[in-house]
Amino acid sequence: MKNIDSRLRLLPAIAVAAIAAMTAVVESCNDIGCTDLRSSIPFAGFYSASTETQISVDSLLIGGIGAPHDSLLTDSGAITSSLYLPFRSDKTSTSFFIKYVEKALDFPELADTITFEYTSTPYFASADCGAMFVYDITAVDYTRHIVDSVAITDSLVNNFDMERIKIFFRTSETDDQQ
Amino acid sequence: MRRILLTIITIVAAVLLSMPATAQRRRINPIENPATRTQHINNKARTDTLDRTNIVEKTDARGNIILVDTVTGKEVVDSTQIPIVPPMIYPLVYSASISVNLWDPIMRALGQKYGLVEFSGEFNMHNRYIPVFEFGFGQADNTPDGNNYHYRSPLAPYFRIGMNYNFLFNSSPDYMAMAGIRYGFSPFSFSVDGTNTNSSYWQDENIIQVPSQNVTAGYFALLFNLRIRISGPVYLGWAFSYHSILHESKTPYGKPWYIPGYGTRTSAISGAFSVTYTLDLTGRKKRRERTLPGTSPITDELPIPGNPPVRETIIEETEIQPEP
Repeated sequence: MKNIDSRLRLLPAIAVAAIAAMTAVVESCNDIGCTDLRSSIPFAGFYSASTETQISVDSLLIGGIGAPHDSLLTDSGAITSSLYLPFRSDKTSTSFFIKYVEKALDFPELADTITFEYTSTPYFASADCGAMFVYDITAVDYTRHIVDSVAITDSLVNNFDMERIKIFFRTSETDDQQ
Repeated sequence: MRRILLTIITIVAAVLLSMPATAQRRRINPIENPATRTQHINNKARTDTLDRTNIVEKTDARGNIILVDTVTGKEVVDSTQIPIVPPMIYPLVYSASISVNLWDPIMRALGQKYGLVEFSGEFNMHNRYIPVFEFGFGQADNTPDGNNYHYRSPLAPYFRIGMNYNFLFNSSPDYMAMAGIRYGFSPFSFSVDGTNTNSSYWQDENIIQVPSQNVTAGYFALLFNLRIRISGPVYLGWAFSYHSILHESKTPYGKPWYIPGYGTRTSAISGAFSVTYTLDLTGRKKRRERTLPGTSPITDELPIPGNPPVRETIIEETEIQPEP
């Protein structure tokens, strides 16, 4: 009886301590976080059409057609070899322009446009990454001034951070690298 | 000279006549019959048997009862007095229990956004093997900070079956340390709505509505469970479990965050805190005594934890070396 009484006296403390310890262990073991992107943004890489190797460019202005305040996705002078091209979730297509600011190519008529057509689907990725639209690219149109071709390596665009679009530039007619 | 020659001839003749008899004896096979075949057994039985009229008992330094034959001086250990631990001291139909898992209610009070309540029933066999059936209800309603979506999973049942193994099966049932395995499944649905997505570049603001999706998910769990008796038939238990999803329905709009009975899909570890009421199924048998010839009375009461029972067997004698 005495043992039972002592156990009952310690019971609240034991129960609270055990629950607190278990909670800490469970929470620490289960806290992963979002290891991917929090939205579905297509990732594009720049390639040389002649060598088919990735290149870095420093004289491109890229932006979305119809973007608020004509905002750009790249800064002039910034050296980049890849770029995120966000799609408009409330549209079925999104167009981007590529303007060359290098002196010999800085003419409006040499600017290229790329248009992606897609379907969007609501998708719940995870508790940490949240809900988003995923896109299925159905078609791509582009002009071919300096852009040689555009390849879609994976038409399904979700929040995995991987390259899905390859933009090939004509590099052999000017330099090896722009 | 003639006499010497005659003597030699006689000796040689005698030797030659005796050789066939010797050779014939060497070829004789030993006679074997049922009596000779079992003779060594009979001899051993004769020497192993103690005449109880000449036996006195003494106790050695280890506490063993030694039976001493006062005529032959032979000493054997009385194996009937050696306490042995039988494989299982508790009966097959030992107890049944019902439990309520208070982990989710407590965690919800502390801010958890999912889970509801769980009940379980157990059937304790030998205080060792414990089949378990668990059922409960789960629900989730979560709008996490920093993520502008609203996840809803309406009230749904879940079921688990499995078994616990009590490592302390021959100890006091007041304390149980168990390992267990479970298979659980739940049919449920979930939806995500009220979600805005903001593209900082396009500055679009759209509502994302992931439609309700029906899912049936199954999983297994490995768990470790501690249980102590608090008072009378009431026990408290703590459990840690590792679980993993075995199968789930395909859902085109994303996988569920919460699975009733499992927890969140990223939670490989979960806990449980349960209160258990145990019902004794042994029937409270009346104590009765019986006596075997040449033995002291043996009670048939239930074994008292900590006091090893006496084995009910005929004497099995083990010969030991006599003390010098």
